[in-house]
Amino acid sequence: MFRHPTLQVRAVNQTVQEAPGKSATVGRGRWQQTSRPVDDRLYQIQIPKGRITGLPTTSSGKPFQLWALGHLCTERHLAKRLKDNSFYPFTQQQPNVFVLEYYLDTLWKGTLLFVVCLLFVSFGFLSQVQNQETWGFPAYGVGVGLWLMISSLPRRRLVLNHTRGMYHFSIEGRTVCQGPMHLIYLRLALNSDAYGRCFFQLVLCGHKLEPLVLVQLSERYEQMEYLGRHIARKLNINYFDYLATSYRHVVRHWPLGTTFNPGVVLRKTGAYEKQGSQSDLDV
Amino acid sequence: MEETFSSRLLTVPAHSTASGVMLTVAAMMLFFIHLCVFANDVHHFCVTHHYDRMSFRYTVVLMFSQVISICWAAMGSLYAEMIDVKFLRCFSLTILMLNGAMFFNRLSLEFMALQYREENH
Repeated sequence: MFRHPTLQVRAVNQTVQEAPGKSATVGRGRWQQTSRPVDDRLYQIQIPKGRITGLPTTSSGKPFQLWALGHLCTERHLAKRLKDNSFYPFTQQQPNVFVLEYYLDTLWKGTLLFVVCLLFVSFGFLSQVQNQETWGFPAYGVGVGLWLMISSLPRRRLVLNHTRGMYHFSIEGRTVCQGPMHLIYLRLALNSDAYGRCFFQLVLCGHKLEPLVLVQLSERYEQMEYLGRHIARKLNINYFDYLATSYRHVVRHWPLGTTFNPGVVLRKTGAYEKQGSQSDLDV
Repeated sequence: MEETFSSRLLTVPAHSTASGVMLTVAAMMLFFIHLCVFANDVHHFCVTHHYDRMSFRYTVVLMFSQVISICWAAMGSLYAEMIDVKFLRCFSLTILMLNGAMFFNRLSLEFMALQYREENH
């Protein structure tokens, strides 16, 4: 059986610059997945035993699963969800196809604002304060709430298709964008407060996609990083650290042309090791 | 060295074009409403001298609305700057400047009409 050499990407004494915006402009007109021969290898090894679902689900059952409030959205909550569904927040339709259907959380926020302001306007609370007509404030709330509600009503659908190497984002059946797999990624983001305490967010984002926050405001970096890498490994997408330049990025898909970057050295080996070490730039 | 999440603005989401245009259009509609109210006030202040028909009872809501309109026009022009379409950039900047000018016009009129407000003791 012919054995073509696997490509193992390794950065030698250089940090890998993560620039999703730049790779978008590089790959825009002529995208091509450079890691395709390796992906075939990955495909052969990646299917865990007994995990292939013979029944393709047409729609995932929980479109509201991303609606948790900030303080409920901890990494423990995410770990528990991952135990139930190992491809959270996606569901596995076929061995290499992941589907996520969701509503934006501005749906409930807009509805709440609309209902509360409508009650204010209709019952006449605060309609006049010291001879000034102030019913205009709840009227604004009604307008803004209605707009938020209407813009969030269509259901969003994100499909990761590894057999074709593309992701596909559609709103209520209408395709918004689709692109190559290197343009969608999982990212750890940093927010710090005035005292210097760092809070991390785990976000699934991509080119022309709405960012989806999986975990909000956690202080535990190692656990967040572990969860992020685990999810990215399960979904086979890139994972990026909160710093732009870091040794802790895990890049599985490269845009066309970056493997010719002088800072990136390709090392061809005859054997293929465990799937986790593939292009793992952890130091 | 620390990077906040504002770096996600590097990738422009697909819905931001539509929301930028919506914000600018909303600011434009609010501008026309404020223009009509301003014209009405100036007419009653300078021409007919019916000071009780001016919009004194709605001053708080009007100022709030003008500030919100400026904010929406600024957000819309920020989205337009990101997507680099020349017509949208010019349009949103024009709306932003018109809203700013309307705000200062309203401020000047309220200052001049201060002594004509109804007094309650």
